[in-house]
Amino acid sequence: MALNDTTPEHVKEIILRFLEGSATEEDITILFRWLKEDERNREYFDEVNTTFHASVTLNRFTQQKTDDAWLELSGKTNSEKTKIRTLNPFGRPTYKHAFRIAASICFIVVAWFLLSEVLSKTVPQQVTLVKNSIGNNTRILLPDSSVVLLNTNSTLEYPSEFGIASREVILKGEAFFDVKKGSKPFVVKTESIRIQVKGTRFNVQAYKSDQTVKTTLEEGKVELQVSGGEEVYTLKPGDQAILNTNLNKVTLKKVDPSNFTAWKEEKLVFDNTPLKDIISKLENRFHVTLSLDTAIAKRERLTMTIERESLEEILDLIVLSSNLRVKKENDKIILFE
Amino acid sequence: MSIDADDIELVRSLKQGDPRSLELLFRRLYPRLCAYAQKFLHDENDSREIVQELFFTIWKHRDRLDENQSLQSYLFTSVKNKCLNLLEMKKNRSKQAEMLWFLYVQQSADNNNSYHALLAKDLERDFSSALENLPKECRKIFELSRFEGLQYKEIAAQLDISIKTVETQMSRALSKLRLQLREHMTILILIAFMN
Repeated sequence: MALNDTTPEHVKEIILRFLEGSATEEDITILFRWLKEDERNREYFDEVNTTFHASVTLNRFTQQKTDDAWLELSGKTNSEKTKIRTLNPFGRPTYKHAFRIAASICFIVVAWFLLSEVLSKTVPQQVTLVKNSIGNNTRILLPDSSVVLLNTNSTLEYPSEFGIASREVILKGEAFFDVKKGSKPFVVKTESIRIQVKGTRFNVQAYKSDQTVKTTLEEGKVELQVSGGEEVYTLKPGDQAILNTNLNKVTLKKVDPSNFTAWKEEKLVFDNTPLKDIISKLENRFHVTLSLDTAIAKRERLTMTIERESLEEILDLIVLSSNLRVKKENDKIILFE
Repeated sequence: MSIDADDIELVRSLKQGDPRSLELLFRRLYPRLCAYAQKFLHDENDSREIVQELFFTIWKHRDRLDENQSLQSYLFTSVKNKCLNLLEMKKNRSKQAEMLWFLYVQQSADNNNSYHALLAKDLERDFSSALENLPKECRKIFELSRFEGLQYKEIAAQLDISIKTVETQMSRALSKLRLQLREHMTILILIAFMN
């Protein structure tokens, strides 16, 4: 340990600015390079860093800040006992016949105590589970005003303290997220990936039966990490990250996001649209595979509006307005001439 | 590290769900844990959030606490681990995080006892006497930063001097304190060995 201080003056000044939080990008580049040079440099920096925080920073966490932080914490520990959250079973009552929704949306709100609570004596921590098993989409308004549209056969889970310490949800299946900007990052976890955002609109498809998990970004920015992996993938609008769960490999590609969020739209309007575009939106909306000769797909154009029709009804409509016929083979639906 | 009787008592009442013991612990350690997190993160919001969350977890799982282990060391170690995890997450997003990640995750540049600097009761006294030996102007600048929480440019404006002068003087004061701290840590480590 060299006691005499050989650190160049300009580096010292940069360190000072860095400690205060006023270092520029260029400062950081120079400092970083200097830190890489020698272990003694790192040792010096760490000592100054510790000294600064033990003297200056420590004093800046004043009584007032501690009081405020304590109030926030005690609020949280007290609200641990809050009641079970109930959700309005008619997600968006204004635009549809409530009766039809009631019949087609079946969802259960369950709040249960964590296993740890059953095993121990801790005060219950509660979880809200929204399950959408059949029929139409379910709209969930989270405590932070973010909106989640939950597709068929999907569940969304979040803790009762959502929004207080963190904003974290667990998704099985598919959902579209319209995340409100907040100071805390919004995190979506699925079995195989972790997505972190600030405020954006994106879609996640993570059905257990599929071998892929697709994250499609409509607006803003998201960061994605594969569980257990280190690499962070940053998505820009129009990007889609596809994780192959067998190979544990992520590929990024450019897509038209509307082809992957068609399931959430109340109404799909096709105006002289190429059949291939219609097909991809239908595949997404009904989570099926439709196959069609590419030549026909490009050639045929159709005009129609889809609202609550079933897939069968829509296929009938296509058959009626074109020269195509339909057959089913296993899970695949084939359109042919 | 030895655990004193007070701490054992504190952990006991925490386990029994006494909210006053949580408050006591919180008030005692909040500023120090935040300052410690700041050392790794240099992001006040993140630091505060990590410390808040940690206390919340402690309370939630208070039944799992062990009165025979130092809660204090546990808290500091947890804060550090959480900070390093966060740097891992953020390293591709900002140059600053990347640098801190390089320093503290990859090179493990942190002395494992460094948090003791935030706990040492007599360090404050040593700091004060070290500062007394500094020229008046230098001391004044440092204290404005330290006690008033002023930024360099605010200090420069208030004293009608250049930012560069503020930086130079701050640097001088910190070098002094750094030597003080180093001496302190050496003694701490010696004591730890003797115990």
